[in-house]
Amino acid sequence: MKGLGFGLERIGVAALRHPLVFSILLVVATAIAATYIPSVKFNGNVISVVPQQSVNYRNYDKQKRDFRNFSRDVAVIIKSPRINTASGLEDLRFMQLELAITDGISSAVSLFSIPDPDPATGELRQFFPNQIKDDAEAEALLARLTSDYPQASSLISEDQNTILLLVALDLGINAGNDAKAFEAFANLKKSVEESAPKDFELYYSGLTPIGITILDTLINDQVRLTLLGLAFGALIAMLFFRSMIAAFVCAVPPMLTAIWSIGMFGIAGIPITYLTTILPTLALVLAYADGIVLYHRWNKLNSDISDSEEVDRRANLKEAVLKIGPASALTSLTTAFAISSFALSSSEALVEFAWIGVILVIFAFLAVIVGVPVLGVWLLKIGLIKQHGQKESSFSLGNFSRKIYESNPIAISLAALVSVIALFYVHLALQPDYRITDYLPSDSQSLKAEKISNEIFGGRSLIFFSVPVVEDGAMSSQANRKRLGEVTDLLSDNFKASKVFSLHSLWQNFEDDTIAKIAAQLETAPETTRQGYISKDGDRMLVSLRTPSSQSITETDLLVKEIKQSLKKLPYAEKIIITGFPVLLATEFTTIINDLRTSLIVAVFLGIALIGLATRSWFFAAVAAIPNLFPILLTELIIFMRGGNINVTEVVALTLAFGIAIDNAVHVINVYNNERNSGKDVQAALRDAILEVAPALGASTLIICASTAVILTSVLPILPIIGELIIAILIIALITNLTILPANILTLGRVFTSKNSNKRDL
Amino acid sequence: MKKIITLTIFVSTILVEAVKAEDTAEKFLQALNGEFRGRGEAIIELSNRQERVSCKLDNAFNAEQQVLSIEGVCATTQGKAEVEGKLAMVDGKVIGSFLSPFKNSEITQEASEYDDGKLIISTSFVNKDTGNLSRMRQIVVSDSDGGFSSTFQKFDNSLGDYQDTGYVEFSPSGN
Repeated sequence: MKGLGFGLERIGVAALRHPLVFSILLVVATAIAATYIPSVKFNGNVISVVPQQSVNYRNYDKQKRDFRNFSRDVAVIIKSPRINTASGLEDLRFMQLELAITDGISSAVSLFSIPDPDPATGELRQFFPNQIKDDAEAEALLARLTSDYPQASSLISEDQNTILLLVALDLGINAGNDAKAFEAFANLKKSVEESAPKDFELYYSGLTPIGITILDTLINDQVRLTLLGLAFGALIAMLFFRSMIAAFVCAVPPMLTAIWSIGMFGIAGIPITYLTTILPTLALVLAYADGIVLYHRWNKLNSDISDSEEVDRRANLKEAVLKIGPASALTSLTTAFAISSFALSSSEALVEFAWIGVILVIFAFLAVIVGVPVLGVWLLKIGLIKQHGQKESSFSLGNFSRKIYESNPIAISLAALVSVIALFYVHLALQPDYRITDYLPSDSQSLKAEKISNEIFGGRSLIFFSVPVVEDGAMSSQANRKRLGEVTDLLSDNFKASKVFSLHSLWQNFEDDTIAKIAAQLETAPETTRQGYISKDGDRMLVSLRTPSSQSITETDLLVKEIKQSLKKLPYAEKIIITGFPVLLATEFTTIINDLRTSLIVAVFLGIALIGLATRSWFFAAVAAIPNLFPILLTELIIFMRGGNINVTEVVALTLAFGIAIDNAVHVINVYNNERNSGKDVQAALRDAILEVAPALGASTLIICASTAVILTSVLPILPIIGELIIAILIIALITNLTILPANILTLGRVFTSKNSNKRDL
Repeated sequence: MKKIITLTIFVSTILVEAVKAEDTAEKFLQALNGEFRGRGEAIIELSNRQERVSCKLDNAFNAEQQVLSIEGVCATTQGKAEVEGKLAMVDGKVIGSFLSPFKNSEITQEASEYDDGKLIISTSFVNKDTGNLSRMRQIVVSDSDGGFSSTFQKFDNSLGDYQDTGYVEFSPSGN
């Protein structure tokens, strides 16, 4: 079993041999990375995860090109008891007129924008007079408005004292969460706040405020989680080793990893997304885990000598590097393999996530394998490392574990096998799910805005139906108008009419002559007016259906299937493009989540196969399989019991946690193999291995859990869930690798021993 | 000799008045330099009716060429339209249009008069699409707060007089 870590531990030996050179390298690399940290950019755009080459993305893009980019529209929600009074309405009009001429805003729409066509001329007049005289007139106007134009209920809720101002940002079709979007949104907010009276309660709903909220949280979280993770890890290391120096040695590799990781984003010019934000923290956690195991071994070697003996602490450090280095290398490789499985996804963002993850795992390994020896040498030189190692906690996790697995190894192995087979049912039964509001901080104004918009107005997340025209002439053609009416009516019949909007819903109560006149007027209307209804080339007409932003992708998927079914009645149904942000998420995220779940299983088998490859023994791969599948499947059961759905971030968390959890198996196998090579029999080697490795694994799991627990403090609701899942997997994995894994070694060991006298494999 | 003196005095008076007018009108145009926001009621190209309107102007005065370029946007609750204008000092008189929201129109005649902080610009134009001839008048009056008001008038052939079609009160941006 030579070459467990493919010889990568030699890097650590080289660092011990040339501490000055490696120290300079560490300092230079860290200084370069640190200088790039301020230039790190963040991207809160959820769409960045969607594959840009998919049919659905192309449809989404086409809709934006044909009409306009609705996805950046902002709904300004106004709550006030004055909304149905003359003064309240005049204040709203004032705000709308101010917003309309604000930089970066292409249009502002409120119920004042509802046109009231002159039946005689077809001329589009404004519904409201230039001055609303008193509250009685305001009341009468609103009553007539909601009666004549049911769609007005999407802009005002008198019962809830809430009114909407819809603002389109002038950002172009490719707008994302970039500086231009932030500037336009900032201008919008400034204009709204300057023009609104003090008694207007204001909220901003839509993808732009959502993106900005997520972005702000990402930036705050990145700093806070990294610092808290470091502090918690150091605290646990100090408690475990009862030494400040130990805490310092254990904290340096994760600190280096954090600086290199975040700096790498700046150097490569890759923005941190809501997915990749977790990677620096996880790399930091990995560095803690490996660093503590390495320090533990060094500390143990320093302690295992009687008082009379002279301790060669530098030689002990070398031995620790040689013993633990291979396992660290292998654990890094298994984690890197697990993360690299995301590269199988069709999403460019997840492929990017995979490769960044691999690089960050390499950083974590290098920080440990170089950082600990170099730091150890310098601390020895200045005399800060004591003669003997520090005593550790008296609780023996090894003995506790031994009592369990030795009690009935066959029963434990069989029970684990049966459980894993049964739990595969849960894995298959889990349904992919995602809802954007899960990514908003629970106390954010943005989430409150979305809730108001969803609960009062049924949401403003738009599903678009791009309907091909029958003939040239856009809305001037009666055949085109008839087709638009068919689609609008069909959707209105199947869903709430007030949620469906098109030109047809606007003019359906007018006389034919009036409609024809309005249509003719529309031909000469400015593009900003036309592009909400007719494509720029005049070949397509637009119908929209409002849905709540809190709707999950499963619900949207079902809705789209239902819509497609009802549209089948139309002979041109196949030519209608159904798209929009919720449709894009529903279709693409379902695919991404299923891809990721496949990646997870691939990661599990790759990790296990890598153990077999590194140990040159399929026996070890076989014994490690069940203890490492078990935590994943059991955590999936927890997710299943919480609702039966699994989202993108949860699958990512499961895969990452698996990559960390399998490290336990590697360390157990590594030490067991060393013991076997020293001539001990299976039981004795296993007992000694468990007794040695269990405390380190317990401590590293505790540190990882403590460092991961900082994620629980994130205000993004999804991150605490990820933190909980990672902690659950790590604790289960610690238990399974200290009970099921040794039980499997004993059980399968007997089987193999009876069939094969070559005990070298064991 | 008396005739010569009288003529000289007459010419001098004209020149002095012209210089005085040019100087004052120029100062008036200069005072319109900068960014302004306005409110009022007007007809913009989206409708043929007077509606509540908000406007934002970015005026630039070129002292060398003595030209005031006006660019901006005016919005009603139904939509918005870009507005533009250009006022130039030529031979002591201000020519051009202040705000021209009507596109596809060609100016056929223009005249202006300036007196004591009040500029009246009269424009005749023909709509290129319909061929209809119209006459419009814009009255720009400066106020003591650094702002100004603009009144729009359209000639009503049936009444034989200009009728108000709107007004916008402008104040410097930031005020």
